[in-house]
Amino acid sequence: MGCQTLLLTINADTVGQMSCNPAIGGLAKGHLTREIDALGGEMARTTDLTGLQFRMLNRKKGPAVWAPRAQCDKKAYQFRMKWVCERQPNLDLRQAQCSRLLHKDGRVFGVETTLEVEYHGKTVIMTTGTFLKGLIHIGQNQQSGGRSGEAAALGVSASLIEIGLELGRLKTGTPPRLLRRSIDFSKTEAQPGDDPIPYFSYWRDELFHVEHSDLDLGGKTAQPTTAGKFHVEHRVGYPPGSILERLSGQLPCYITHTTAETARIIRSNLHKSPLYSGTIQGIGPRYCPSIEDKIVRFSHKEEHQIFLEPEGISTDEIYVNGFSTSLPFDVQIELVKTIVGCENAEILRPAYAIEYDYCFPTQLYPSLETKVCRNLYLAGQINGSSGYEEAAAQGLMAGMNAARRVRDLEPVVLKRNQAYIGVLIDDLVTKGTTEPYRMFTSRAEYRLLLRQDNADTRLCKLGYEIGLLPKRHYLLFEAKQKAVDTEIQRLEETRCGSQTLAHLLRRPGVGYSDISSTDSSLSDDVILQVENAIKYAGYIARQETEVARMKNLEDKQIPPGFDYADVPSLRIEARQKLIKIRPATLGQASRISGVSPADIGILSVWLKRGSANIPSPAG
Amino acid sequence: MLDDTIAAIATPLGEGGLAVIRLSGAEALAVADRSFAPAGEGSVKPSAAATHTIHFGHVVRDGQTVDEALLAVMRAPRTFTREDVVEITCHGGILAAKMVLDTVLANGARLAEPGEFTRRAFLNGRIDLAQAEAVADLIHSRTELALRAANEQLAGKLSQRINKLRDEMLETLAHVEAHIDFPEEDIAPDTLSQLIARLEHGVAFMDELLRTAHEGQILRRGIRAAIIGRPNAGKSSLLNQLLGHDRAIVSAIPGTTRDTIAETANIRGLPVVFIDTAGLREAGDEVELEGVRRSRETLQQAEFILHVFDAAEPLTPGDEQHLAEFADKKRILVRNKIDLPARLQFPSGLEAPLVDVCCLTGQGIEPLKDAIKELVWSGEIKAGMLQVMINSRHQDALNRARAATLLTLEALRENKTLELVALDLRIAVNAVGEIVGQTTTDDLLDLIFSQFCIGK
Repeated sequence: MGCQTLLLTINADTVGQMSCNPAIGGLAKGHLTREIDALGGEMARTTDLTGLQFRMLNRKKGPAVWAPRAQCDKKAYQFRMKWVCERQPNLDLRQAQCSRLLHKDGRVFGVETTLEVEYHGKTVIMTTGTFLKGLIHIGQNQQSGGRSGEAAALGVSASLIEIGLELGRLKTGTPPRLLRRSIDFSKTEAQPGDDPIPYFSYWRDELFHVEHSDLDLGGKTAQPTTAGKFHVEHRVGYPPGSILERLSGQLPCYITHTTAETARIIRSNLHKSPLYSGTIQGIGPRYCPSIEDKIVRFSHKEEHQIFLEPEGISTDEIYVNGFSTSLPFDVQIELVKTIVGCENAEILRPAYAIEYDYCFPTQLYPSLETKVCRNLYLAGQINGSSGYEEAAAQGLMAGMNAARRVRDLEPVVLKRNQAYIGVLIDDLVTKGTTEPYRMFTSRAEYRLLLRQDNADTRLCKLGYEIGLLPKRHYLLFEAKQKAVDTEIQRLEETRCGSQTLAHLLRRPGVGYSDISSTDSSLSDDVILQVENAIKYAGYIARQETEVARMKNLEDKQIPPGFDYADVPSLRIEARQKLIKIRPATLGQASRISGVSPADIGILSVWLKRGSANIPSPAG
Repeated sequence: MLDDTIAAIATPLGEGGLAVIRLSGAEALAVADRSFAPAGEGSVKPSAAATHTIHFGHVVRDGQTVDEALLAVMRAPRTFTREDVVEITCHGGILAAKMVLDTVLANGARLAEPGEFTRRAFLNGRIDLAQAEAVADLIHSRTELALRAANEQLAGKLSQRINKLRDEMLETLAHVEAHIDFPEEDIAPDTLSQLIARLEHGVAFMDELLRTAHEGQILRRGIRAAIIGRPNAGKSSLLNQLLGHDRAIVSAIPGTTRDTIAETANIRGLPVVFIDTAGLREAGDEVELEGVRRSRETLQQAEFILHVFDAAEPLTPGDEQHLAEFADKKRILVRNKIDLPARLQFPSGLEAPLVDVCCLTGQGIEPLKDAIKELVWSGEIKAGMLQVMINSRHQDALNRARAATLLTLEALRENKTLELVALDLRIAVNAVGEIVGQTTTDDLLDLIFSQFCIGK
């Protein structure tokens, strides 16, 4: 988008470091990653190049809820991200810690670092992760820190409060990391990756045919290839320079479970958990409970599923997925040995819980700009979200909108029927959150429209128009879209006996390859989109009708300075909430809890009154 | 939300003998086609009719004639809302109007929000700015009333049942959604037959609720009013006057009404069930004794009493006894036979409203109807139009929930994938939730996290 951008980070080596499990994707999160990709973001590509295991989840269900997931090599991922930042034109990556925001008259104009250096800019984006006054808990031991082994950011919270933002406290946690050779994997069930590999990026051919990185991941430098550019079926092996290439395949993860002994040890040590002794004040996520929480709340379950997942190919650290805890270190040592296959396991890094400051996201506009301070944007965990994909999606939107502010352009706000990113940001700024917010497909009312296979159809055009998606990617998208549309039309028009091919394809259990006349030149991606569009047609039409029904509300803008105090007859609760949230559209207003359909009716009348150029009655 | 087709009873409460049901929106004519059978040679269905024409025929639901009606077709833009508008004029009173409304709702219209016609008129530029404030106030005040009525009703048994239904449906949805969103958790899957059984149970429950809603307690029963008084005070004549036709046996012989007679009358639009009691006097024979016993029972159930006196006779000890006996009941004192020389003297200190009538000529009957309406609408008797409208809302939502649940069942039986099952099930849960003002997403997540151990 052409803006001069400075990226300040406490430690340049930890750009893109995944604090918890180095896994990208999963349900709804995989959808987010695909959307980021369609808008020109980096996450999908880096995942494809640094993943060590790829799977498409939910294959047994319909393709609308399929979701790609990858286990990445933690270090390869972060170093590639760093390299991408270093190479990015107009981006300066600098190691520095921000200590306060510089602002005047309700506008931010820069930041000051701990070295008392001032950097000035037209817009500022804060992405603080778990670093804002981060406090790490292991048993009753508490240490200030933003992440294991890293210092917390202590100054910025006060600066945010001084600006007028209200902060809250959240909690999250991470499990212990075990040493690979201390685990007996023969007692566990191996979970292999999928074949063919479900890559994340829409520009797959580029993964194979463009030199990506000078980064030598394993001594084997990527070889530029000149082979046929768009012939998917000729794709062999793995992307040059990728982790998969180095491995010549994928690594498995392993499934195991806890035992009765796990539960016994936890019960007898519960008083030592800061969660149960009341030391931790922040609210943790319910979808990612600590193991002590699971044992207490689901006491009838005799065993809990645990996944043992490699953190990388150049390390023997194993992530113990499902075993997050804040019990003391000595209890953890005892505890991991109760997991089947981990009887002799050694902990390389202890599990911990971390509390951190976040900013109530209802203080933001849908552009992610703060309401109290112009040109200041917030993204990621500071907004109460959780997860790399949720953070990346917000970072992308905040960056996009900050750049558009610099250019005096209107912000881009994605709609709920357009992208999970739209659902994510609308939920955060409209409803707020009291636990770390994670995306689920059930949060999206138009789930069948927001599929992982069609994120490009939904977003590439926008990505290209605002200057994020390169032209070569957009042209590839156009060609693919044309192939999809042409094939759908052919299937709708071609008859086989008394029925169209589309009709046949709609039958349960019938796939594209089962119909009598197929186009063998089509790629798997095109076929999947064709299949989905045809098989879901009736349902998609219904969801689109619903979208159309709500369109009036969603399109109706509420002017930024709209005075709710002026509107008579609004119920008091509704008025207070509206004044606080200041929704951008009637649609957003209708989703605020405590605002009734009658209030929306009154508002719509008032907005019309404001915009109608009808001369007011005498007086 | 702003451009679907809406319907409501457009005439004010119970004024006059006719009621108008108004439809507005793009589908208004299509809904009218499905609800109305034109009568006579050369008649056309509403969608084929010219604009601003009136047609005679019958409102028909499921092959059954609901009412005789006149139907006016007004095509956009020359209408009140600037959308296609259909107005169905049917017999007055809540019963007929409500049945016609139910018919159009069943055929695809949505019950209008308070003030929604006016709002559309404004938004479509049909009415001017000066009226905007009035519209806002209108929406506000009607909603407040509706909310109050809703709260009263929802505090009761209906809400318990709706909440129970919603809990069950939500639980089923939570199972489905948990499987979609958390494929890697070891959640014990519900078998297909379990899911189907639960949903069928839900449908049966909705049917049961719909049956009660359909009959509508108030509508079925009306507001009960007992007519009491000593024999031959003119109770049966009064009933006939209120009903507008001769129904009870009227004679000058005391004790002619040997049994209680219940008749529903449309009093200013409110369904009032008048119960003519056998005279409350010492019974002369076995049959009369039974009549008196039933009269006493009826009195226990009545929401108010019309106490009839003979203006030409002095107060008897029996009258005085009744006055004292029913001092704590809502009542109207009716002084009949005012055409005769007055010899009736009431004791002082009676607080009940007093109306003079002459049942022979009908004099005073209209003021009596006003008095009844006032008594009913003072809010001390729980009934009235608002609750009836709330019932329509419930019914509308339950019908939508039922249809969506049936689609869910169909999808399950056809072995469709879970996300398609979830789509209709969620529509069903949303519709049930509308009744009790609950939204789905947050409750759904709460339920998933409380029921399943999620946490990979």
